[in-house]
Amino acid sequence: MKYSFFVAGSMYLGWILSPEALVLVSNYAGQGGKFGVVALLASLLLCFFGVIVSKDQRKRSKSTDEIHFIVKTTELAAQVTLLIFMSTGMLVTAGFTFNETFVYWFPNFGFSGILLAGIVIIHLLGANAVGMAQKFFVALAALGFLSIIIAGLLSHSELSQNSLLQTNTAHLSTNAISLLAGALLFYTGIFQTQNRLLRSREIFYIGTCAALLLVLWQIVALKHIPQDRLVESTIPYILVAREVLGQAGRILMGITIIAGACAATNAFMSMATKTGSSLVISASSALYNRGKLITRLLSLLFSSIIGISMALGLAGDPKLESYMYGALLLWLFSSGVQLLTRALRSPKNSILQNILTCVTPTLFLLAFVFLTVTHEDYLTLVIFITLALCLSLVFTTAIFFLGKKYNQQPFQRGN
Amino acid sequence: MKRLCLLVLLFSLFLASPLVAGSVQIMDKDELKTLLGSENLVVLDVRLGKDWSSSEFKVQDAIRIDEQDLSVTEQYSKSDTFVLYCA
Repeated sequence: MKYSFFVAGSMYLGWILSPEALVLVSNYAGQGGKFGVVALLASLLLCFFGVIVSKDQRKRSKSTDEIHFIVKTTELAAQVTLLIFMSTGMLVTAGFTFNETFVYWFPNFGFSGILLAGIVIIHLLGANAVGMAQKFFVALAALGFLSIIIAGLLSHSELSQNSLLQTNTAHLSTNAISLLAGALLFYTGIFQTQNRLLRSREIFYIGTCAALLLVLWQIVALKHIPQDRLVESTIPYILVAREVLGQAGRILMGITIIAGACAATNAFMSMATKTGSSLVISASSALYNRGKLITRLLSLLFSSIIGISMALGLAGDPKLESYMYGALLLWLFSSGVQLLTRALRSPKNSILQNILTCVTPTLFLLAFVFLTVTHEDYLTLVIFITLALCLSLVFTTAIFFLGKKYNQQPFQRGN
Repeated sequence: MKRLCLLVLLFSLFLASPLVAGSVQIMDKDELKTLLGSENLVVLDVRLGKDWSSSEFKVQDAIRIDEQDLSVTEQYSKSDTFVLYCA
């Protein structure tokens, strides 16, 4: 079953409305002031440029096994790490939010576990249930988020107008590249295969929608909270919501955070299980008709890993933040590789077009390198990313050889 | 049957785990509230990772430390009241 436009779009927007994305976008607002907004728009334009120059992504030459092998290896590493580490972190955040905003006596990890169990059940029910749940989660999160944005835009701020949207030039000179590179993280998912590739026009609609949400949020955040506090805070979204609407803002943000965490986890689970099952199926012709079963088994496997990670205290591990960021960077890398292979395969008319089609993917890959080496804990990031890619390589190599033996066209069929 | 017995045993151990920490006093939030601001109170926030960063609530004047490294407590008197906040 192919996803409709709304389901594919909400799969991408799940990440935009997740707690981690809200922390990142608020921190960037604090770092760059109005330049944070400019960086978001510039990155969106870069993505649109990539779409325009590559024209119709579907009209391209067929990929070879080798290209597919590289793409699948990076894709699997990114999606599985996103699912395990990012989802663990976000579900824990949702648990804390529920405990601290709605029901004080309810254990936060208990609530995280309930959310995880709910998402597993949705995935066991099948693709229809996943799509419907995703639309519900995103609609709920967007409703709460937009309410705070509108209230924030209309309400009066105690901050001096001179400090509003004023960019610290010292910050700007050091952070301009990091803001531009970091802003790409918000659009990474738009190019990823979410059951199907989005059409150019759909990318424009969804990208514009995401950018609008993020830019308006940054404007509201800068209007109500001093930049220094936005940079330092680990929960800037709560600061903004509380400042704008008080207790009602906390409740609306609580709904957004919980629904956003569910939407992102649901989307990551959907991506990882689909990529995983397409790989497993390509190992043998005997597995062609077992796609749904394999997807369900993988969702059980991944959720067990997340559950065990939470039970073993991964949330309290100081390195978790680095692992989550590493997973995000792997996603950026994977998107860059995917876009580059698409650009190289697309039919071209001139050398200029050859160069232009490679601009966006090259900048994605450069942003990946820049964000990795400039991170304060870059050693952990490098080890994490290398390890994830190596493990994925081992798995895809095994599938590749099994496919050669038991399936005439590994990576082509069942995909 | 063996598996069931093993599971029951593990669950019992899990339930009994607070007994091991029986010698450490537990303080509820109301008791802590009455002590906040007093001179010999030292609140140590030992939450790490997402446990700390995701939480909206931070105890007033709490010192954030790594639970594996309590060396910061050496600068305080042994007669002080130490409150370790972990969740």
